[in-house]
Amino acid sequence: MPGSIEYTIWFLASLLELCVVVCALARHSFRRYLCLNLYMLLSLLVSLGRYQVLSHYGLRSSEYKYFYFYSDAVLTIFLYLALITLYLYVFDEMKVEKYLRLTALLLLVGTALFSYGVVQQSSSVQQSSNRMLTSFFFELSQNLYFVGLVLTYVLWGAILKLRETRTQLIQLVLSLGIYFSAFAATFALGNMFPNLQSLGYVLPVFGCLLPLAWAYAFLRLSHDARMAPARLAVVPR
Amino acid sequence: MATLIFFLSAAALLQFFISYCRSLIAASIKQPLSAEFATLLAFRTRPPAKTLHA
Repeated sequence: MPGSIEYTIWFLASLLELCVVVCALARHSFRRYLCLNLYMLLSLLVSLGRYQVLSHYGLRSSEYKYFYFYSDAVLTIFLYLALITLYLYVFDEMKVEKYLRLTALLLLVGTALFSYGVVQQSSSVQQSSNRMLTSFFFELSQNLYFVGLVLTYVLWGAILKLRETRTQLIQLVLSLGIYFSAFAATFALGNMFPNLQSLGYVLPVFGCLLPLAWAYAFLRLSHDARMAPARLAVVPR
Repeated sequence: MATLIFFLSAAALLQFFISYCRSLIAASIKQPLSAEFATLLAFRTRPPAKTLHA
């Protein structure tokens, strides 16, 4: 079973996810950023579900492993969709909604096919279909984090180029960029050093940062707040 | 491949983190100071009594 530190981080993450939804409701931003808030709500429900499965079946049970990896893949796909809605906000005036949706769908299908190819290449003939499906969802999650990172980087570039000034939107995008890049870097580190034990603590801590940043953005920043994005660029433009 | 992804992700993480910190600072600069803090600041920056009498 997880120790008290893991439980504390888990509880903190769930509490912060709840805070995001409450702050968004209180500041009338729930419908404006519907997909982001639905992701936080889903993440909270998944946390509760995981706790139920964990306490019922145990950490080493196959039920918990299946539930963990399947729910993680669903959450990652949902976060990917949330990122696409941020694209829709930024490119709102350009009327390219249809192309953005189509590109996002093609990219998601492409990532899924690539992940399937990787799993099929590395799996042996005797491997059960259940195990292969779990490996596929794990691979898909990892690859989607990297695709999410690249897409967020492109979106940040577009924000700088289009001189998007909405502070709340800028902070939501930047915090999502931190989240995706932190997870992608951690997964890559895990692949480089498979026996690294400390990664088990790092991922849940990173998981707390996104709801913390979003709760701050919804609570402290008004929707009308503006800033010059050129001042935020690391490389001066 | 994993090494390349790690370095790319770490570089992106650093860039996003710096930009996010700057956005936090830029957003906080616009917040007005409270009356108590302004009074305290005026008290702290006032020259000491000795220099006034000199």
